[in-house]
Amino acid sequence: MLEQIQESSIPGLKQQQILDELRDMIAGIIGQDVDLNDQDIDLNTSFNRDLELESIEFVVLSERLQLRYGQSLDFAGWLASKELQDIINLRVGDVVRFIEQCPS
Amino acid sequence: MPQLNVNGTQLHYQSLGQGSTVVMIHGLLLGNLASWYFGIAMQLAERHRVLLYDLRGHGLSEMSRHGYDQQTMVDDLEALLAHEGIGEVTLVGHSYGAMLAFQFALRDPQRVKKIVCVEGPWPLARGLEMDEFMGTDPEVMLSALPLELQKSLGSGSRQGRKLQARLHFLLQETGLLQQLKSEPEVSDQEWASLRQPILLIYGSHSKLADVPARLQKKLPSAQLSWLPGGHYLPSELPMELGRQIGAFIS
Repeated sequence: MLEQIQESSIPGLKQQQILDELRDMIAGIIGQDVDLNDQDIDLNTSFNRDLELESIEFVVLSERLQLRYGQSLDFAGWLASKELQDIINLRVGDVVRFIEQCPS
Repeated sequence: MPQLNVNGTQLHYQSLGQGSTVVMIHGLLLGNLASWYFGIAMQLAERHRVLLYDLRGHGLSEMSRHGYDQQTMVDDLEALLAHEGIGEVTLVGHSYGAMLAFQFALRDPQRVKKIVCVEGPWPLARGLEMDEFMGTDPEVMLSALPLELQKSLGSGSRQGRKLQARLHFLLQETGLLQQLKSEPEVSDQEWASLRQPILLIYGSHSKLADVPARLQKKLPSAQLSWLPGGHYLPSELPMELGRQIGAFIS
């Protein structure tokens, strides 16, 4: 995992930090329903196949990402540009990299 | 996660963008605000304030056992708009949500600027036909969904199990089905009283493909648009549907 940590374009925000925050958000959304101790969430984790996130839970994740990272992060807009199949196949790493490359 | 208590029931809603207000109402059973959120609502939010909400018993709104009649559902929408301080609205509804949009416009015609009806079942009981599975096995209901959605809800998955539990609740533990069967239909006089610009969008492969021709007899000035899909257009062709809605409401 360590070699995947890179400098991000958001000052002070590194990939690992984004991943940790994303993990907390995911836990906040599905933690009551899913035993996340069984799931080591990493960049390769699939929202659909591994976490089995419902689309309505994806809406909540999107809302929380916007709240956390501000207006500069158009997460829903980024998803809007994708086909349904791409959204279904998204991995945690796709979202982390998207946040990383957004201007602060 | 914005929630509002309406007559003792918590409703979940989301607001995107700024401008004149567009309210999007999803369909019964398989729908929730996520049906619109990605793709369609985001497109419209570039020019409008888009208000999306989960009907009672759906999405993240409370699993209420009561209130599945149209008038209570219109009350829910009224309360949400009052809470948000919204006056004039354009209403976009899919399936049963489209029929709710018409009901809202009949109750409060001055407030409704335009109406977009996507795959509205009329008569309302035609919605039961869509769901030929209704009251039967939730597994069979899932097979009525577009293939991509089926894949994401593969039976045995957490999403599939949650959807099944919800369908079981709505079909077995609420008055929803009974309500749908006994709901009064919109009368000729009521149809004639709707003066707003209306857009009807139907899927050319939908089981409801005969509905728009009959609706146009009641709503002669309504525009009709066909998309090459089935009943679940918001999931099947979100981009194209968003473009059509956007062009009509702007």
